[in-house]
Amino acid sequence: MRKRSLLWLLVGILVIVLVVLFYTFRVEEKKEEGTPTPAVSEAVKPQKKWLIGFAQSTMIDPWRINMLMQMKDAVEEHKEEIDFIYTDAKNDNNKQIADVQDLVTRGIDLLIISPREAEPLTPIVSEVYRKGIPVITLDRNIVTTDYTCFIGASNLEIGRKAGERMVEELGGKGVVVEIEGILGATPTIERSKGFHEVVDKYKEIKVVLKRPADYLREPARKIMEDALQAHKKIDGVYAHNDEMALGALAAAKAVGKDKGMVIIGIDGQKEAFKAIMRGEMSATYIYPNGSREAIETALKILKGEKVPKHISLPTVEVTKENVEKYYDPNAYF
Amino acid sequence: MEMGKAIWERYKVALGLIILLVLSAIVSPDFVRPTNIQNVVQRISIIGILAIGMTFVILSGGIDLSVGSLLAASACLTAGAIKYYHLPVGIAIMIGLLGGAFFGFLNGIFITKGKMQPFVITLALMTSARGFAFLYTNGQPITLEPTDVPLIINLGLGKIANVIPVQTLIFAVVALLAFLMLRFTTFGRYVYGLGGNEEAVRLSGVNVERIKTLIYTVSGLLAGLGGILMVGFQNGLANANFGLGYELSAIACVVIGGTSLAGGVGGVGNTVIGTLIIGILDNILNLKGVGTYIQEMVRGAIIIFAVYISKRRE
Repeated sequence: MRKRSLLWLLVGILVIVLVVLFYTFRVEEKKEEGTPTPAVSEAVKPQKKWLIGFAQSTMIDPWRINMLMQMKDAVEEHKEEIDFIYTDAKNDNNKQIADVQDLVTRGIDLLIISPREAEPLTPIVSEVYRKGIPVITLDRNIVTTDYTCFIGASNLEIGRKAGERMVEELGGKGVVVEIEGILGATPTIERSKGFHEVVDKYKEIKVVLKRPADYLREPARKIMEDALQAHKKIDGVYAHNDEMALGALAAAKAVGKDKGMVIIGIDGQKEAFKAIMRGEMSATYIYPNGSREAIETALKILKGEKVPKHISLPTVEVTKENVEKYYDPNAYF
Repeated sequence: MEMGKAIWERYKVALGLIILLVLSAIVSPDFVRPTNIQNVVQRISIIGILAIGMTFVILSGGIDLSVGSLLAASACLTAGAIKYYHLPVGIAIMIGLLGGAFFGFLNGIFITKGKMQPFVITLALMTSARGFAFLYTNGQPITLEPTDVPLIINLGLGKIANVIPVQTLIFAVVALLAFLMLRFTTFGRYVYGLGGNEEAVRLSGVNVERIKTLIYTVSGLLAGLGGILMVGFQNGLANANFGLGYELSAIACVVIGGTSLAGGVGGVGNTVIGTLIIGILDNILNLKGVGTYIQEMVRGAIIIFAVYISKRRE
């Protein structure tokens, strides 16, 4: 008897799976049926919609989820002209290569890709580009010039600005903890490099601890707890993103050592803005994801307009002075 | 009736694969395009090779959680030998393979001589081997100039006659060798025996410890091979964060194929089918543009379903 009910459960699961598969199938069919109906006058030919494919590198951190959400919003504004599909590489280069292949198999007219790492994704992106499919590289680039347009901000520049800020706030001396992102990832390397280019010139600023917390809040909190155990006084924290800055802040708060501590983050997350308003964090840098620009640029390319090879997104330093201007309680991120 | 049941038992996993193939072809006309099939068989090869090693381990009643990390360690060892020590590519590949095998050997030694649980030991090696990879590379990715290492690039990205990916060919050869080993050698019989009744094998005078150590060494060696292919597939990049979570994918391939986690039942053929099922599933979900979160749910559901179907009669 029990065995039979388990079987029913499994059949139920299978049905759900099939429904999901067929549902996605249906949506497409409907669209195909819809276009040839000659309701409009024959002079206005129903235009074929372009299919844009987006190969995202991961969907577990808020910044990247936000990137996709905003991209979908931008697509929505042009939904008469474009269809949109995306894939999630789950932080795995191999999976992203496979994803790009699948998008091409689906017949995309333009590829937007945020490569997880440059070298591994270069051959496949080159291949796509040489097939005549335009490619926009977003946030991170490939190593050759086989792409139509790169859109991104400079992590090196942000690192330098954060370094300058740290020096200024500390008056050129103090004990600093650096909480890094994912080891070996380009943003981590550049955010660290830019920071040290500035800070290392000041002998009296000592970076006593440099640890990775993978851009996540909880690991950052633990690192900061340990750092507070090991060092009597910590004057500054430089975290490679706001999530980790907030983690460090929580650790410092828990032992009452957050007063006067200079905490700097990157990304421009809503919560970090709030912390800046309360005076708990010193600064963050809006690291734009460029999703809206990507869709706008994609449309230009598809319409045959010329676009620059490199679009540099501006980064903004957000401090107590200007935070009100950027805080949006309804933002996704 | 009895015979019908026997045939069903034998071929139900293969039947599952065929149903999936037909279903995929129906829902997506893109699926059957030759380039797509090429893509799918190429991308399952590395996981497939790990899963073959895992098949030996699981058949013997063990588990190997370290393969993802061993893959990373071997990839870094090989790339590092070229980049840091300027060794010839052939020797660098040997170093990577031997490195993987050595870590696997350590697994085996700790499990047999130390009489410790495979789960615990391979979990420990999973951490240590990855730590080693990070230490060895200083946490920075190693990039090899593709034109300097054509052999490695070809292993990962090459296609024979522009049709069959080299990776896939290697996977096929490994699978065939493993099949022959399990089917026709005494070693193969002992592997099944260990999973069925370890005590009986021991009592019949077989050196169980040696067999077990060899099994984990093979698994490590194949993880090493996977690591080298990965460097090629990623155009000459080696990174200590390679292969995160691959151990679980490899285990999934083995289990979906119908090999019992309790050991003693199953085989290489099952694993190849399991690997194909997972690869095709990922492909078709992508082709249909199914959202990433739904994909995760569907994948889990399929695993439950496949394992239930492939369960043998008690």
